[in-house]
Amino acid sequence: VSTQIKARAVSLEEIETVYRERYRPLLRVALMIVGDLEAAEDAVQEAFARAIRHRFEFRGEAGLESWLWRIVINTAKSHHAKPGRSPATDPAETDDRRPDAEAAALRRLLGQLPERQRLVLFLRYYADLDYRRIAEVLTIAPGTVAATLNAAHAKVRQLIEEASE
Amino acid sequence: VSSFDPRVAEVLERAAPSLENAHGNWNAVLELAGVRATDRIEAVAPVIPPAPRRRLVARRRSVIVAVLALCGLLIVLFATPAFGLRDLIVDFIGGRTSVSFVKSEPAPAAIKKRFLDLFTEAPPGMSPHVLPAEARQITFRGAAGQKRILWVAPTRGGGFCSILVGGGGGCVDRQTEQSQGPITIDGAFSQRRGQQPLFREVEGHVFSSKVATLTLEFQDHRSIPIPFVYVTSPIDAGFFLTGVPSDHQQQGHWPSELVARDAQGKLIATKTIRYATPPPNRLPPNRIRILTPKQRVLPTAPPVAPSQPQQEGSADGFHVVVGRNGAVQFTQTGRTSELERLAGHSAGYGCFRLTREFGIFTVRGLSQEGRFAPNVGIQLYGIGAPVDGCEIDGSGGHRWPDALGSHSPVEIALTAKGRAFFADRAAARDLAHFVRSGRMQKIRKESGPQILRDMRATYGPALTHSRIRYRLTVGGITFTETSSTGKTFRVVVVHGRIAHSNVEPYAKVF
Repeated sequence: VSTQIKARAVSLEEIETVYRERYRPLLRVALMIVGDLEAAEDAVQEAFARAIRHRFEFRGEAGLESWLWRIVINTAKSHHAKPGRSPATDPAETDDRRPDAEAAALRRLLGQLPERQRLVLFLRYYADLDYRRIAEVLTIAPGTVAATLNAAHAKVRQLIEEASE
Repeated sequence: VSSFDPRVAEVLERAAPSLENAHGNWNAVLELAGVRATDRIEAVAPVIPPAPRRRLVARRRSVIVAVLALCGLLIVLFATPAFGLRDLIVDFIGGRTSVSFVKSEPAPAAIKKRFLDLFTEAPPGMSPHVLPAEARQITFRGAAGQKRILWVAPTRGGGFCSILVGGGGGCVDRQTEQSQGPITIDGAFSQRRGQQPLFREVEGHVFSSKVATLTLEFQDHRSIPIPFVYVTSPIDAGFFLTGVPSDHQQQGHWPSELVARDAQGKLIATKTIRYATPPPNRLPPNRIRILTPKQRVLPTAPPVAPSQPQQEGSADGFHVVVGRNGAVQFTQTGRTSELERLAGHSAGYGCFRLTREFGIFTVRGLSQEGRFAPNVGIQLYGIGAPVDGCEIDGSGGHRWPDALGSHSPVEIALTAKGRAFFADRAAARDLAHFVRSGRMQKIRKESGPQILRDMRATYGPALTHSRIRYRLTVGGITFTETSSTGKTFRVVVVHGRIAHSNVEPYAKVF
């Protein structure tokens, strides 16, 4: 069996299908990582543009959707790390879609979770991915997903209680 | 997600809204990825893995030539499903692939619209009468095995119009076909200053269904086969576009003749390529006077009077009457400071109709430019009726900020759509003029925070008080401006270049 058979080029149509069918969960997870809707839109857009440019490098080891989730998460993380994400001070920079204060506060609360717990929680809740798929996206063992999700639940409950005291 | 603790689920739900109205923008993704509109179809086609063909050939080395030839044919038929062509191929002989026109997939809407542009904007008597809705997409292989995409549409007169990606395009009528014989050939040179010209590629048509092979012969008596695609009725023509091998690009090795043969190898036609010294590209002195727009006097009335039913409107010191027959009369009725400024300068008088063509928002308009005058008549053709607005555009400006807020000196909306268009276009133009201004072209190449510093230093309060909004993004900056109609225009700059924008067709940004 030739190893060349394994390398499967992904067509634009396949990537487009995932984009159209999974755009909202992708955007929600990106939003939870970057904290700003417009930046999240940019992150998803940039991630899919990257996927298109690198589609010939897709090896098919994980599913296409897992591969795309990984790119979106990495891109969103890099967006979040970029400078210039602090609240705008120039009137020309104001964002009329700024999320409401409560949502922002809850995002800050969830931001206190360790990164892996947050990502597992987001992928499970917003994207409805099963443990196997989450493991593929985050390149961890499926058993680790279950344990991490448990820990994340406990941590969120603790944070809620602390916040309501 | 049923397994979630309700309290945790509630926090997650309230932290990120469900974003029901978010749909994304796939075209923006493609733009950002650098997939050009003309590449998209090519890019969609899956890559053909080279392995099966290599293995097949390797195992059959000792098999007789006839079997190898059969394998060659099978490989072609195997490979073509990648283009969706297996059912379309009528025959494969020598270098010719015959493709069924009627079974080919329709061309994308944007391409149909390009064909429609040929039809609607041509002056009377010069339209090729192309049938854009009938346009098809044909995919075939070029000389080095590379994919080629051809879009072709029949014309009412039995000819066709075509666009070959990476090559040329145009329309051919049956008379032209007959006068040119069974084959045509054209070539493309490139030349750097002080160097000899290089012959880069050849392109042409085949107008005889009997042609099975094309051979390109060179000045050094060598030759290569030229593959071509033959598209069946109603097109009944073949197309080729192929790069000239590097050892035949220098003078003395250039292509000398194209030879067409039938399936039995019988000569059908030859086309000799002649290289003439081009005449100097100079106009003879004192024979042709080229008028500047300012010197051109426009007619005071259209060639025929505006017919009923008429559309009328007034604004900005002008009254306009548009007839059903496309005749338009502009008449000055007042004085404004903008009209004073136009006196003695050139102006464009025009009208437009807003429409959707193959699902694409389109502004069909026509204007005539000449010296500004109080009474001007023009004739519209190819626009259709009723029109949505008329205007007089000045020749000056395009600096940012524009004194008129990027409006034209005279804008007469004749419908509600026309009024919204003027508002949207002003916002789009304002944004485009800002982003493409000479100063911004330099500034936007800077790194993130430096862009902001330079913008503020250069434009100061003008920018703060403008309707333009901006924010840094990865590798660049995004500008937005919202029209009074609520429509938001956006220009995304990445590494100094325009990665995406939605200002067209209202304005151009670069």
